[in-house]
Amino acid sequence: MRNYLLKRVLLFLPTLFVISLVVFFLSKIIPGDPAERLTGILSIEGDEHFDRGAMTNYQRTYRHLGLDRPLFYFSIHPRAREAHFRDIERPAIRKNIKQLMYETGQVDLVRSYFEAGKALSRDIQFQLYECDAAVFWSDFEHQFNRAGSKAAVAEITKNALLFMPAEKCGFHPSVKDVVKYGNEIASAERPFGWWVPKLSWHGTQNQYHHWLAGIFSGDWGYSLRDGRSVGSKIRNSIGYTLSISFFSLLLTFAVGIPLGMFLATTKRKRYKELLRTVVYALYAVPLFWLATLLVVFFTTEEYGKWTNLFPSPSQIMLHTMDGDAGFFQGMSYLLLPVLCLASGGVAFVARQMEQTALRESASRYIAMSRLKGNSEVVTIWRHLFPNAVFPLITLLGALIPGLISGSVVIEVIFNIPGMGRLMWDSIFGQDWNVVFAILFIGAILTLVGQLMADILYARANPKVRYD
Amino acid sequence: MIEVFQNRGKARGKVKMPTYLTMAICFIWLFTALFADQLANELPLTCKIDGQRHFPAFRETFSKVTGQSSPRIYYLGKKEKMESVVRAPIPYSPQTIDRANAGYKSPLGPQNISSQRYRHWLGTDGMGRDVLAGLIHGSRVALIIGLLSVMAAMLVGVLFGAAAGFFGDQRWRLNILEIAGGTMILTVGLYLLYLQLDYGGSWLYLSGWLLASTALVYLWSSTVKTRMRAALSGLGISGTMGIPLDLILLRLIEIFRAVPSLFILLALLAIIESPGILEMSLIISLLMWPAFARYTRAEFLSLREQEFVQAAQLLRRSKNYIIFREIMPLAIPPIAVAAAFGVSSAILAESTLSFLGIGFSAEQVSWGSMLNEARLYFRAWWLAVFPGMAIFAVILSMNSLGDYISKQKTTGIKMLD
Repeated sequence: MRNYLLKRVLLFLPTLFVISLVVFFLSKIIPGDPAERLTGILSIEGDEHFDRGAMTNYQRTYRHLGLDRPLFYFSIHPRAREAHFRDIERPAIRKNIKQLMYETGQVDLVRSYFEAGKALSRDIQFQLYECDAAVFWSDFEHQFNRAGSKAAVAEITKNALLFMPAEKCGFHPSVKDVVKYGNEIASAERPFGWWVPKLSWHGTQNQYHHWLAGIFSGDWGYSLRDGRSVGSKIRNSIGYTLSISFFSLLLTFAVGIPLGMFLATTKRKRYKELLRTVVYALYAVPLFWLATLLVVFFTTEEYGKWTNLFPSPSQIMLHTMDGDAGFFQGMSYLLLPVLCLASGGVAFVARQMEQTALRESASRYIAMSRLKGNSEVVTIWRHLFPNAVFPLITLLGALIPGLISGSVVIEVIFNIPGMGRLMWDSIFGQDWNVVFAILFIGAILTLVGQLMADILYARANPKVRYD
Repeated sequence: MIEVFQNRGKARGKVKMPTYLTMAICFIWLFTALFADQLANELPLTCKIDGQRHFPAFRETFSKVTGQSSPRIYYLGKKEKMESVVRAPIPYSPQTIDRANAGYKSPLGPQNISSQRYRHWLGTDGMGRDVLAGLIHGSRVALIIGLLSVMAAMLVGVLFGAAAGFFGDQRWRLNILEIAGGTMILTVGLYLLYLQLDYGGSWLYLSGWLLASTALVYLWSSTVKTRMRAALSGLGISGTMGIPLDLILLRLIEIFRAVPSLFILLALLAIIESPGILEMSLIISLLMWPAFARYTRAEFLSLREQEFVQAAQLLRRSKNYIIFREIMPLAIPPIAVAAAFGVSSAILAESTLSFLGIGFSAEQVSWGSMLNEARLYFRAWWLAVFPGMAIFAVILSMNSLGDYISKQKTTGIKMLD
């Protein structure tokens, strides 16, 4: 048993590693820029001549979030281009540099050209005022940032000589550099073998390592949306989800198990058929439809005075935001969500229970018990029930991760700020720190749930051996 | 991971619903899906324009099938010129905006219509779109989503599951050089694909995939393998290694189980902006294939130990023959059961996503997106009830179809014993 558990845990480690990779890279592929979101800049590419203060702010945030680091420990890329361009903040310029490198195949040359261009646009502002360069070429920076091909670079180089002639600007060193590198780029030919793969090693200064190290040292980071710590956000919402899950689970088993036993053992045909049909239908009802129906019909007075039985979702949102709901009021908010979640569960548990009970009741020990003259109650509840109920233990293990992560649909419909809702909002808000934390907790709980189910199963049934 | 099939093998005994009801639902569903354009369309079924007979509703179906541009705008422009018009039973398309009946007209209350022929039998939504027309056209979306995603998931899941169940971790043995060559070709293919995505040249794309697929063909084709093997043993190289297919599959399933499907769905839907029906089905099938792989694997694990397999091996049947001709026919019934449940869970997944407002773009009518509107306006009970009933009926019929097949399965096995 111990060996088996150890093996399971050890096998889970590589899985966890792969999960972390999948989650991390998916979050990187999804379009959107966390730094933009955090600084409140709508799009740093959208505005042509946007505020320098905002740009500095953006750059600082970009670096603070560690977005300038490479993604992973190593990267494989064609020889023609650099491993990554994340030290450059603006995505459009990143794209241009990459394109130019692909066209020329000269990594160092393109870099020097861009350095020279940056120096020149600075100098146009501060040093080249005397020779009226700024007047001549006020949109140099704009043009320069847009040059993503050899032809565009040649155009800029030509304009540089045109707008900043030697007699006026005295051939300022940065002008000279731009012209020199620009000419080189314009005439560069891509060397053969530009596509040969090259491995670059980045060491531990990468985003993935940083993120993983943070998780293992207990530093889950801060929300990218409101700056609160991830831990406190999760602590705020876990209570709602846990209480909904707990009560719905309780209801599920408290109703489902007796119902299943009744269906399996009753002799009354008519009740049985009716209940079976109800259970079967309940099993097929989409959760979100049931929730919508309940909300539409039973939370307002649209359909008569008595139909306003439960608090409506907007009420729930208002009160949970204030945090002033008392215990009983809070319970009344949970009533509908719990009912919805439990209804599907009841149908499922009842069906499972009925099937295992039917299977067990064909066994010889049941016949033996009847032969001994035991009453029907003793036969069913002392002999049949314990044997029929224990396969449900595996079900319990599968439910544990759901206890925490909650049902997103229910929490979205009823406006409950639980874990499911938090995850939903965080994915839409690209609040990756929060998303990662929830996913990580969920993955670990899945493992714990499976292990617990295995252990309980072996405890409940001595016949089970894990070798 | 979308769980398609929660009660495998336990639904023996009774079929819990009269099968004629199931069949009726299925037939109505198929009928409305096939003839949606003729059942609910603001274009007439047939009419005369300038003395010439036209069939606009049928032209529309034809244009959808062949991928031509829709004749809708042309015919809507000729509305005044139409003579001897025969209208569709529901004279509204799902996207037709009836301004006179905008703002949630109840099916029971008064409606702003010229005659009963134009009545909105199941009411309208906020913009004045007919609910019944939406239901009819939504059935087509549901059918396509259900079938496409199950087929795609089955293709991957059944093949992978069959290979993992039959070969296990050790029985698919390859020569070390074969493995090295295959890995190399695959790596080069993947690198070229990456280069294409990074740079944007089309020949690289093509050659990358050609290389990758030849690698797969190379690994599968036994003729190449035997020739290689003969040549290699001539050179004195005979070390072989088992490919741990089963281990890989189980780890993959574990990963899909541990990452919430919502995250994968949202991530993929964010990457693919405004997905169509095809993209949606592929995304759903991505979450569904592990379930198919699991059931197929379990079937193959138990079947491969049977005597008829050993007999086929003694007869020196090829592995392909044993997998596809000996074992697969016996594994089909449980897979068919899983497929029936798969259709219902695919439809459930799509309608849940549309309901949450993250599925299709706004123009695409689906049952889930209609239900979504019910949350905006509580008085419109018809928006909450009817689309939900459609989803419910379809899921119910698919579930009982699955139960029905699984009952057939048990009798089939009994006959074999």
